[in-house]
Amino acid sequence: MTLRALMPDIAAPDAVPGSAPSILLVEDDTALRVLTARALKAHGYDVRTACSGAEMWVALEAAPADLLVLDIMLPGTNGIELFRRIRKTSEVPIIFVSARGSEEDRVLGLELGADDYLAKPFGTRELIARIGAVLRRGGGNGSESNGGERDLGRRDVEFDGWRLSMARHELTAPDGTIVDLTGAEFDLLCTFVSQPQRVIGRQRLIELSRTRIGDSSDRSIDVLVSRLRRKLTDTGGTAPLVTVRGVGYMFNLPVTRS
Amino acid sequence: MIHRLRQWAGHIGLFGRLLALLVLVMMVDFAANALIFEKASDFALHQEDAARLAERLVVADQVLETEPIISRPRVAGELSSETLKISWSPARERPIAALTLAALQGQILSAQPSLAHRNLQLHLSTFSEDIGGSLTLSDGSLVSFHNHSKRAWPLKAGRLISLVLPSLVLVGLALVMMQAILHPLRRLVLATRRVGTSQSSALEPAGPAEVRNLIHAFNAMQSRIDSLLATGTQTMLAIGHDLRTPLARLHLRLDEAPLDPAAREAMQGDIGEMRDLLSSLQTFVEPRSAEPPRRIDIAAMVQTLVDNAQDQGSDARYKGPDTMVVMGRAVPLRRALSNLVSNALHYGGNAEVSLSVVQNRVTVVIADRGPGIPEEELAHVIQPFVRLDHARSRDTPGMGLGLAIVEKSLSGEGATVALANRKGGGLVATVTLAGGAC
Repeated sequence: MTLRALMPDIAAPDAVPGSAPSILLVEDDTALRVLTARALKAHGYDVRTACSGAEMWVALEAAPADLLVLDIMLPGTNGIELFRRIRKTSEVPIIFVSARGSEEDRVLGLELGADDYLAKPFGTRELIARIGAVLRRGGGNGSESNGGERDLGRRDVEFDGWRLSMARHELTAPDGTIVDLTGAEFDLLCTFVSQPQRVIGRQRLIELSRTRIGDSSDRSIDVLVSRLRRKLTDTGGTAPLVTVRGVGYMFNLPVTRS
Repeated sequence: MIHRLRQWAGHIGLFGRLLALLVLVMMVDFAANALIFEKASDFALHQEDAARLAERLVVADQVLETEPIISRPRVAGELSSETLKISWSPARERPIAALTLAALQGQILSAQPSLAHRNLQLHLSTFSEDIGGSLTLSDGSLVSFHNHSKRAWPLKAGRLISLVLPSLVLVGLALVMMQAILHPLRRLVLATRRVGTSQSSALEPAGPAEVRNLIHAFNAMQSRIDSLLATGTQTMLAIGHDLRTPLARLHLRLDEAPLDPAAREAMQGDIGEMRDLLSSLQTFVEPRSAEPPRRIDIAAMVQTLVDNAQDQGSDARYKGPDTMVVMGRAVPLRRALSNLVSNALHYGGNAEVSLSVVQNRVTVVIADRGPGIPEEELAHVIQPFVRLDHARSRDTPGMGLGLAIVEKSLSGEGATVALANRKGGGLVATVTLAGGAC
């Protein structure tokens, strides 16, 4: 997943008391709710819990949250429906937790516009890492590139008839053909389309692809770029990836988000 | 009214229908015979011909009556012509006519009333229009005659038709009725072939009572099978699903337990393996995706699998075109090909993947240089929950669902997979897609 590649292993939230990000955890299994809350508190988050949709609304009335961890299978109103209702009034970041864990389920959650999707069982490291990544992306500090990256995490990207689906990790050619990408290719393309028409340094690209490729070097980045070029020219035309001699590469097409 | 009649007809069994058929056959046969008799007694020659025949019979009668008995056979011969053969016999017995030609008899007697007391009898040959007959002389001896008719063939055709027609009608009727009886049975056969698939559906009861009963029994059986299958699927999905929450608890408890790091890592590995088992179980029982087929760059898909493996440091190679478009569903195709590449890397240590079009069908070959599979086990490894019983697979995670998932995913796409051992060692999996490249 692209944005997982962009973050360190464990996010350390702001340690200053009172400014710790607040998380609302909605989970119907009591033991799991207690365990998860304890793990989050241990990592410095301000955690409140709810065991159903009704409790969630009460908690949100009392005070807003910086992030919601929402189980999909809940008694009464399920997580998907709760998500839709929350989105009518709020853009609060939401991570789905599901016991189904199928690819279709993950895609459904992300296509709805969830910020991430976590399949049970998960460990503390994975949970904290995902929450940290989502908070950094959506982080309220409002720097332009942060806002852009959060948008990118949730919305599909289009350029010159091509479409890049963030939820499905799927690239679709102008004639509707699905063109698969490797994890590293997808991450690289995400990096390019998040900064279109700007030169990206070779060194930065190498760092970004380190988690994806065992041997990350100058040469492997060139290989990766040439693979991506080949896939982007499958149906003719020229690839939008331009080599900027001595510096790096540039994605030279305008990008729209839908 | 028609509905009532149909309902009533529906209660008649096969036996009743066959009985009805028999009665119908008998009635038609009876009617046909009656018609032939009727036709025969109406049979008549042209007035002229009848008069000529009558005249010659009168001459023969008169000549032979006066002739002494000894010379009668000779004279009878002399009286014969090509069209009318006349013979004499002393016998008093005469053959009994099958058909009485009442109309012709009337014609002849009205032309020559003197023949009335000669006890004239006429008959018609079965397959020609020849008229035969006899009359008795005053001493009781018999004059037989046989009249060849030359212009009778249209009449012959008419008679042939009248003989064959009832049979044709009967055959036609029997066909229609058998069709009506067999049609619901054929539908039943088709439906039986679909039992247990996604296209199974209840049959509308139709046909004779026995067939209706059969259809009712079939529908009951089918719904039992469907609910058994559904229960099985539900059970497996519930297992795959319900075990995940306790596993998540276990994982979190493990993370906060004061443990030796090596032991913790081992236990985390165990939980990871259980998660993979549940995932493959869920994948295996999941119903087929209903999304419509789309254009897929199968070459990009295969290269992506190979490149991903290479990125993780595995020995994977690809040979084939840069791009090739097929129609299909990406998720099951990718899952099947990915499982096969993983298998090759896991068991064989390498993966040689190639893509080509063989006999108009897109073919992906995944080969490795591992130990292969014993010939006698090749047929079983695709079965779900089957694991090879030798050292190689003992340390393998999974429930033996990998190839079963491959097979199931591909069959939903109309594609097939075949496994074979390679010359020089190793396994080769050949995936043949339903169609060619777009």
